[in-house]
Amino acid sequence: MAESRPAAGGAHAGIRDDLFDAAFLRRIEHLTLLARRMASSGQRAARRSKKIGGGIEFADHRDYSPGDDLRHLDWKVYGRTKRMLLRQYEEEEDLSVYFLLDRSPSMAMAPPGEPSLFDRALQITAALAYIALGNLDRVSVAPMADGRARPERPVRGRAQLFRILRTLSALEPAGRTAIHDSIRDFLRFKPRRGLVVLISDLYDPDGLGDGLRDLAARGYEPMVLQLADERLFRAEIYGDLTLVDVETGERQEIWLTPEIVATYREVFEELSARVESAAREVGARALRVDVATPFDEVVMKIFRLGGFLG
Amino acid sequence: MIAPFDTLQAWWPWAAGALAVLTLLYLLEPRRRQVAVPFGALWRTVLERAESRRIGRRWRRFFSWLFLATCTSGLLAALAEGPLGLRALRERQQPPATHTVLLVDVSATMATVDGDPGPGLLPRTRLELAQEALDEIVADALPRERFLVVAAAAAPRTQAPWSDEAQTVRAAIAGLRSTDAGLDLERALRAAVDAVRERTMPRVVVVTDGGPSTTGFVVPESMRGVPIRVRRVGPEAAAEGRLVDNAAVERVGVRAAEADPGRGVVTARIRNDRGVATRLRVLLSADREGQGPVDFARAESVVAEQVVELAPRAVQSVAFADVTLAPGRFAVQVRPADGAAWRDVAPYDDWGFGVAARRRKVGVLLVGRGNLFLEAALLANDGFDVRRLAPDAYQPANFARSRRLGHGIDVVVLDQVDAPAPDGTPTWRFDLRAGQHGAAGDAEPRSAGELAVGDDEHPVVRGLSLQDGNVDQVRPLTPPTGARVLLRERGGVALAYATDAGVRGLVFGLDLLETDLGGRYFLPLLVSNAVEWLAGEDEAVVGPLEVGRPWALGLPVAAERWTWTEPGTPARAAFASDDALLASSEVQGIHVWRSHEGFEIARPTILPATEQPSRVSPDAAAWAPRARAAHDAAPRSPWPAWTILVVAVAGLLLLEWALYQRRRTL
Repeated sequence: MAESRPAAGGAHAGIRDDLFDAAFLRRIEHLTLLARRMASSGQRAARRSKKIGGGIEFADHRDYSPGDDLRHLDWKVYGRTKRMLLRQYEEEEDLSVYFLLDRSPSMAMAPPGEPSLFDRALQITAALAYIALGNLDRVSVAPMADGRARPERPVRGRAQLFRILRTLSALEPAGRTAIHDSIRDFLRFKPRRGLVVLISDLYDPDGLGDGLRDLAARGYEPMVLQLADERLFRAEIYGDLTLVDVETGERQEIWLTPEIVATYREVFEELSARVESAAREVGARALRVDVATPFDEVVMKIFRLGGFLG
Repeated sequence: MIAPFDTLQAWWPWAAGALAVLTLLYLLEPRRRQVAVPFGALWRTVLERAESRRIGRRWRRFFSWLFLATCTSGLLAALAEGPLGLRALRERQQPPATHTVLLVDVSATMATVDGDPGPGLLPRTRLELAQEALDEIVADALPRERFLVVAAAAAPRTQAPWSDEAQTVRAAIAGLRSTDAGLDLERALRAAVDAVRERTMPRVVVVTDGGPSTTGFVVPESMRGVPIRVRRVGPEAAAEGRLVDNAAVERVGVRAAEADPGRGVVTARIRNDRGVATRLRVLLSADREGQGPVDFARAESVVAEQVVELAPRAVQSVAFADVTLAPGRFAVQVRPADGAAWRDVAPYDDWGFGVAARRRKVGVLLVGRGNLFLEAALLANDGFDVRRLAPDAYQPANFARSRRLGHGIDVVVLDQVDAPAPDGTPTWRFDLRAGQHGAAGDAEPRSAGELAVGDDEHPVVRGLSLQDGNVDQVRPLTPPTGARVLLRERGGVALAYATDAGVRGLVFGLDLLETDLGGRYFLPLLVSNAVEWLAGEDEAVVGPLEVGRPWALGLPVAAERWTWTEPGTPARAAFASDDALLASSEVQGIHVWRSHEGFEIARPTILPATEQPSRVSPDAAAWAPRARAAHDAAPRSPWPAWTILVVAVAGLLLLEWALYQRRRTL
């Protein structure tokens, strides 16, 4: 994992400048522009609540029922058709976007000087959060570890970006991966319904499936972002090795050969397939990205995947 | 004989330690690198899928350990047994083994009983006599001597294979039985020579009665190079109650006299193998470059002779006293006395050889009031250990018999000192005063005339020239009887002389400071010659010892460790046996040892010399150097050490290659 380097002071105080420097901010600003352009070109600019209520945007008609407010009666329709229909308006409300961020130690493994999955996850989270804030959505980060995922207090408006960045900068890898437990813990706080972006290496496919089902059942819209590390398939050493699980400490003796590494890739692909299957089962979108992929490119992929921009 | 892998007995602690370390390394798994992985469960699935828990993989580490342990053991064995190993080192440090074929005539005639064996003795067959003789040979075996017992009749037959165990050889000898066949000696000899030719220090001892079936002892040329000795039993040896018509020199010792190390005593131990009293001539020969009987048998080499009478089968020491040790090499020969009716049947053991030992550094005590010329001349010789003493501190009694008492003073030089010479210590006196030391009739000092060397053959002045030498004053001396005049005036008056009886001494009737000799090269030569002669050394007593062929015994012999150097063979340490040092020339079969009597050289030395040499042995071909046997043909491990080494190294290389293949990065 790259070493955390909080900035010295000012608005950037407490923000890791190795991840969230000025260039990063310029790139996410650029991403926001791209997001608007994409929205104006056919995609809806902002997510809308499906709740029908007292907004100003017309939504639909329905038959009048005794007791309905006559102010909402569409007289023009009555004049033409003699049918009593009530005008219904969409009730605009803030969309909540939650980032369930895996901070287990497996996310933090990286060769010296190279970004880890965790670093990349922080950058992606920050970029998506900024776009969501620009879209007047409510944004909350919920770090996952040891079966817990307490959401931070949601924030709104672009001005809250630095708060988000500070929150992300303060995160350190810890705990063990337990996706299902973490989602259940997240739901225990009864957050408002909204988009739940799960960012993890997803080395817990069974827990993922159960967790996604729980989210969908509660009316949340899950999105799965699986971070992968191709470097794992480029073994630098072969021979007699002892593999130590960074989270559990479990040891396994192995005579590592190129054939074994190839088998490892096969198993990993199967795991990814299970992730996709679990997401598809609940109608969620899933995306697998490699750690080497720049974060803005990942964000663009997410845009193209749909669902995030509304 | 060194049994195969017996040197591992000395290595087993190391081998056990290496194996323990290897096992420990496998237990501790220090070479197993630990690698952190993000998701162990995924790898567990991988392992299960890759069948990495198959028995072969599970036991891979055990097989790896077993393989490395085998390689390690092989390397240790190779190191211990191989050409670079301890076994080879031990063999190099040991003298080469002597290989002796005991070729025993078991023809029909060996069952014969010859006459009366003597009072109190039971009649015995020739074969029984042969067995007795063979037992003696085995009893007196050299260290590491190995025997092959061959029974010879119409065809030779191996009675016992090569063995250095006396008990085994004796059992084989005891099992010999005479046959009804005749003896084909040539065929038997050929077989014996073939069996021993390629081995180190070979020889063949034939025990036969020389009966009518013997085809003769003329050995073909192809057999030459292997000493063949014949010991007879039967009518020739047993006639008239004699055992063997043989006299032998068992041992020769050279010992310098304590008072006069230039002279000494040569002792010889003479043995009479005959059953009757025998008169023997014992000749002492000295030769500076003598190498063998041919050199020492020359008339000019014989320096002394004694006639002794030895009792039947007796051993007696004969001493030659007051022998000049300058030649360094001595030989003692024993012969039948003139007019004797018997003939010595074993001329080879009639010779014994001895060497005078080199002396230590000569200790010189210079007593005088200061004479830079004399001191410089003494210090010019590195062989002198010079100490200075003022005349007032000089007490002759303190240096009496100094050499004998080990005070480190071998020679005393009195330079114009009015004091007597120490009793029993060689002394060089410079004195101008009459009546102090010189013989009666010494005159008062007077002016010197022309000088000349008196006895230019004397070691002190040999090769020196006094031409144009100037001496201011001399004291004419009257040498005592027997003294040799070294310097004369033209007028015939001696001004220096040497005495050589009892304790050596020099008297110079001059004062070096009153001459111009100090500025000439004459003086250091004179001083060096004089002191060395006084100390008993005319020249270096023992030079490189050459016998037969150029080989050298690394002297000084005073050292406890000797080194043999021979052409074609690596230098090696001499063999030490108990209190004696025994060295053997592999090429020549010559043995040297040290005893309390001095240093001795002989061939074939300590064997009971009742053997008769074959007729072909005395010629030069028998002493021609042979190429060293490629190896000691003793039985060895069925797996030669080098094969173990090769297999071990090849295995390690293969392993390393396999690991390299595994370690390749993608």
